[in-house]
Amino acid sequence: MTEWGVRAPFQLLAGNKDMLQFARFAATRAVMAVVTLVLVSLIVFTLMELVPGDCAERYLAYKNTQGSAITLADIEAERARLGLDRPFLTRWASWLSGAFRGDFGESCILRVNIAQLLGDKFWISLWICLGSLTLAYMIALPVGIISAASKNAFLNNSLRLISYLGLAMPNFLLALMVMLFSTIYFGETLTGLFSPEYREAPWSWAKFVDLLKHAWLPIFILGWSATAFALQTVRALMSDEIGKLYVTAAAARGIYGRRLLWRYPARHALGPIVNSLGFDLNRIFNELPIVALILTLTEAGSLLLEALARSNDQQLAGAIIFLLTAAIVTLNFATDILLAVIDPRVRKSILR
Amino acid sequence: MSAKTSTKIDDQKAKEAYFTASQRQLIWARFKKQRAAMIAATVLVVLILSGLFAPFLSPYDPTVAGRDKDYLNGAPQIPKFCDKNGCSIRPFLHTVTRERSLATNFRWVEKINEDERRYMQFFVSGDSYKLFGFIPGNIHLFGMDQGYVHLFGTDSAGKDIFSRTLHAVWTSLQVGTLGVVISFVLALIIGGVAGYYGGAIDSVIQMITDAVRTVPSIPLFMAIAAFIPPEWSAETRFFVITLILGLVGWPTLARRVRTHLLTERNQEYVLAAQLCGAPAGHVIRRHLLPSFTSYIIVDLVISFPYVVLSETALSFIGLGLKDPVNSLGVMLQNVTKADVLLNYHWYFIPVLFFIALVMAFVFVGDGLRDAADPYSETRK
Amino acid sequence: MKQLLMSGVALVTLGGTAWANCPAATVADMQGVSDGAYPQQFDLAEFQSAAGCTLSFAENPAIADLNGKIRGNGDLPAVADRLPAEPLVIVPYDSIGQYGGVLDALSNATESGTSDFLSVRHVNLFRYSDDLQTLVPNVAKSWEWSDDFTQLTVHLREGHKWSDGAPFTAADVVFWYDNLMMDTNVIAEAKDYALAGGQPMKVEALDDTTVQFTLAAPKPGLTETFSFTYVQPYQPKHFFEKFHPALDENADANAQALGYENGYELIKAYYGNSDWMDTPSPMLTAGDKLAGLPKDAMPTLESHILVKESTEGRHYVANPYFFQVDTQGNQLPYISEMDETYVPDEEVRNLKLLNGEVDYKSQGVNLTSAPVLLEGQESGNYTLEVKPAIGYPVLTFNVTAEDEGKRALFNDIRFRTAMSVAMDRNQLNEVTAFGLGEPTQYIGFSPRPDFIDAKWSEYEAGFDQDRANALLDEVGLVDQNGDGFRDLPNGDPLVLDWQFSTQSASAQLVELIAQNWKDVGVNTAIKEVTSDEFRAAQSANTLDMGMWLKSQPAGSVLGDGEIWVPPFDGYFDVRTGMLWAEYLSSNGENGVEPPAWVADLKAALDTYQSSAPGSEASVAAAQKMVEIMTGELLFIGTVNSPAPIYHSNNLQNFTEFKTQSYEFYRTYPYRPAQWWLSE
Repeated sequence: MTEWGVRAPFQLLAGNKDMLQFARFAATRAVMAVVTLVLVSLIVFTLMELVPGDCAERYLAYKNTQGSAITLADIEAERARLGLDRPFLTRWASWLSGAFRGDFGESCILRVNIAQLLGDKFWISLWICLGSLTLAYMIALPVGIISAASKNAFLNNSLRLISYLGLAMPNFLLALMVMLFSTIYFGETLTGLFSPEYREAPWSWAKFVDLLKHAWLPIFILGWSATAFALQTVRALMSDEIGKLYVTAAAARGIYGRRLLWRYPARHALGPIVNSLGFDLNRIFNELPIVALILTLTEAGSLLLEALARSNDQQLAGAIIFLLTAAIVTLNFATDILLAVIDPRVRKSILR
Repeated sequence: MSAKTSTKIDDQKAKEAYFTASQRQLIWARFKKQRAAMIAATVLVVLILSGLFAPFLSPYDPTVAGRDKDYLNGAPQIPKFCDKNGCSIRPFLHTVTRERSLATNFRWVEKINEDERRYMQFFVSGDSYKLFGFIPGNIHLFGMDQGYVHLFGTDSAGKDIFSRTLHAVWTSLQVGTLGVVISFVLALIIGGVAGYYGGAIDSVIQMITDAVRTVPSIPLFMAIAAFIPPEWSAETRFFVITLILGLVGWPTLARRVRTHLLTERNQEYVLAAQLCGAPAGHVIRRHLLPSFTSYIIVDLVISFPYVVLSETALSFIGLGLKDPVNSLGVMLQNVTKADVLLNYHWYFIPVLFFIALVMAFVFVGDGLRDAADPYSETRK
Repeated sequence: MKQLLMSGVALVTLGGTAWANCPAATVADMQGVSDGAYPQQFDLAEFQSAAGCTLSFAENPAIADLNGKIRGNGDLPAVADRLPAEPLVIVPYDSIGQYGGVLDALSNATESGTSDFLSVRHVNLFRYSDDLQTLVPNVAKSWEWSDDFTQLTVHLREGHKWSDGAPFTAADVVFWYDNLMMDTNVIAEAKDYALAGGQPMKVEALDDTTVQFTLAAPKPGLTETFSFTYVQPYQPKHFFEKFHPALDENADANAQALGYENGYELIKAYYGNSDWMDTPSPMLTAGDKLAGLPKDAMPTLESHILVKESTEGRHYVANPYFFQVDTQGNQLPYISEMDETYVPDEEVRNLKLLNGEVDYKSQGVNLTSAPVLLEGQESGNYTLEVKPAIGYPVLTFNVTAEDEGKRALFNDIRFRTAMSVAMDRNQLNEVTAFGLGEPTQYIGFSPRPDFIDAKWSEYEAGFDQDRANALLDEVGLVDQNGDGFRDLPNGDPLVLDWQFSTQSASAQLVELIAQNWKDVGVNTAIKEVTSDEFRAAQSANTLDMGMWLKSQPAGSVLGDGEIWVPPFDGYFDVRTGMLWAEYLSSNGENGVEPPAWVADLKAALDTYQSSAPGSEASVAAAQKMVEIMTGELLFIGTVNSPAPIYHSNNLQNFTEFKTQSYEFYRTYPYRPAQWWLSE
């Protein structure tokens, strides 16, 4: 059940044992990453396009606050002004070239420069997601290994029960329950990302500490619910590896217990896990908006939800998704390189 | 796991059975030995049955049409056999009068009339329904001779939470099954093609798969949901949402299928079939797929709770099913209120069902995975 | 309209007392100060003579700091020089307040659920007193009408200043009317409230403190518009004039120097494109351009001014030039700062309320949350009151629906009647309003004035399924395909597509009504949407039906008749007959011709608006309006339920509200500038 073979087709490109080969490998992966990014941006841009009502319509409707009738001519004029009358591919191309330069244009509804509007928000979201990811694997790795190897049914079952509970409790429920308890018994709603005094303050150590004081809850909630999937992966991989002959051989040589698990099957099982980290990040980011909505976190996730659900702000939504995709693709690229460096088998396949 | 205390002859018989058993029998034999998985499987079967027969098992229509207008936000009523006036074989409830006002903070205050009994009846005729969606009926397992009985209490409109829960389990099972089946079919086709042909086709498909996995699903849902015409009925909308869940869920599974195929296709028996001139479709269907059916079943069971969970998340952001519809996602949303946490604890009963359902699937999935792994026996 | 000095004359002659400290008069204890011409407030001279003393002025000790937070404000002059020559003396309810504190408020988002908090800092020319009947001066010092209600003269306060210290004069009123309201580059189409008899008014500055409105037709309701709506008929000319192309030939160049396309764009960046004053400020929209702009937010006359804005919330500080003082001469407002946080999720807002994190809130606190909030009063240190509302959920069918079959159906009065009598309003009341509400038909006015017969409130509002079924049969709606639901006469299945926002009513109410209709065979698909989606779909005329809170006090109809002419309300509310409106505004070129009764209704409205309130003509016109509006059942009433008001126990001088409603502009009648925070 290994996902080992996944990267194989791309890894057969190398020739001689040479640093040059490695560089070529890295360059190929980088090109692949960019192609994926472009592909995803096309998918996303198309999806945005499919949503009924374009930016001009929505903006005029939004601004049409006191019921004065807007005419079709007004909408056409606004459309021309925003360049929405150009062909689809032209718009996508110009949007994409802007996006690679970090210029996402203006938000459709708020009429604010998106780069400015997002500011630190995307980074905060990303760090929350990465924090959750770390937490999830910090739980899943030991529990998964124990669960696959241990003969103690009670320990095994109870550890799994707790980990899977994170999956069974939908995170919006979990978030609200934690808030309710905290409000009623401790008088603290645990909402927001910053205390009011730091909300508009420039970054400082104190502001960072304040952020950590608020961010632990979303990290905990997202991390717990991500644990279940991570645990299933770890458990499956470990089960596969433990049954293999080299483990038996190592055991025959007298290596046993934790040392055996960590040095052999766990190290091998780590490969596919590292490889899929990017997609785990995506999965966590998908859950972030809901948690953010409840905890009133003003970061990119809730902004995305608002842009999509409330104001149909395609420009803003597109920018956030592009950034997220870029983050995932970068992470995938980094893990590929990392694997090639640390895993002799992969290295060998490149430098063959 | 458990020590065997049988005679030699029995042992011999068992061995014989073991070596002649089919793969399915072997998996079942190994599965049976896992206590946690067996418990989970029992829970799962009970839940599936109660969902399947929800219209019959539940006493009332789960929509506002079946509401009890005299028992809004009412606590669960447990029928009893005895009271101060003596005992009865037939379980009964006491008549309750309720009122509320500003003085009671708008909470219902109940007065129980211990002298008036309402008796429980079985196989009563009541709200009409369609079992499995097409068998019409109006017989319910139980009911009262007068008034209503609410085992799990009622919500603020007076809808019976017991009835709602059973119907919700059914809805969620449907969502899960449909979603899993759709993504499964897609995964088989896409993963099958990639894995069987390999090479350039595989590379291209892998790239697309990776791209799809990279697209965040929320905007995908939003875009598709915007297309759902508002005049569609709750059922149609529900079907489309399941479809979406399936359409989004395939890449992980497709990747697994592909990996299996990549390893299997180089085996000798495949080569033999190819040499005999079997077409690609035939080889995939008749030779390759059966080789890892067990893995696929495990994957299906494991992806099930994720589909059910996605439905609850969709409901929450306003794209999924909404309150008049009975799904576990909708019921879950109704408990996210301070008022419920403090005062209406019985709203949480459906949550327990939801957790039980998800946990049962996950544990059965784990159990099946271990059972399907031929080495698990030797290890434990 | 000079105020006469009455008893004061006698007191002044007593000599010594005139130099003593003024008594700390409050509404609870006037300390012997006799009432002035208006309840609970005085002109400075009027108070000094009534109390027999001379007020010396004091200020918030932190005012210099607060002023420092207002970008673009210079150093402060002494408090006496910041106040008008004749400040408005406000009699606090219970106590002379203490300065300081931050008032915490919640809104849903930048322009969502904000009117409640907006009203806390609001001022206008006039104000409705807390009896909700007496019109009293506010920004204006006094006013007088000509006998035929065609000329309104308003006297302003000499020496009144904007929040940046620039003088506020009659020219600012003229600027608002001529250069904003009537300039189509700013406001696309002049609003009904700014017209009289459909014609523009003439607004002239007779001198710095006198402004005259000359009307083409009588409109006694103009003063109402300037007292209980959000419309502030003055804007800072000194701030805008060099960017307004009609006032400065270099306007566009001036704006371009600051990074805006032209002058109008810059004006709109501050002012928005309507009188609604809660639009995003340049702090949210200008980005890099902000640093070059002269101010973060435009100058104001309100009690507090916006100093910080982000997508998370807003922050305000006290206006150092605010024109009101208390009976001890302390400049208002007492509260130094206000903080507004956006919380989109209702349950999280409830949690914050429960936790006592908010000082005042009424908008968006639903009656369904009342039980849990009532129980949490002690631990959260707040008080929850349940007060009657003015508006209530009202349904309408789209009489100009794009679908011809549905349009014909919705235009049939029998169908509308059937739908009304198919609703079990007592059940709705019991389930959604704890039985506290009042089942009612929609009559346009709320509360029902005495001169409107009570029968209209019950008109076709009784629960009668048989009648509903009979009427529907008569219309030709019968079940043709045997699915248990009625189909359109042409055989198409009829499914009412009901998109609603929970901002208008609970999902439960909608579900129950839909069930009521299903019970008489009319299939209804309900779908919850956001308020924005609802409004946009309504503007695009794609809805089958709409629902929102609706109704107006009789007084406000005098000033604004929007709900009586197609499309029968504004963008934010429930509208129907969008194509009738298009027909009328395009003089018959586009749209659909409305039925004759629409013109009759408009005629009655015109008579009502131009007659002296209470006169025979006025009463007759109002009765005619109700007869047409209710008789046609264009809007179907549901249940008028009361609503909660939440206030912290630390919030002092908070008086119980008479209603929980937007219609008298929420807190404005109860003078939030004299609220103060203990501890």
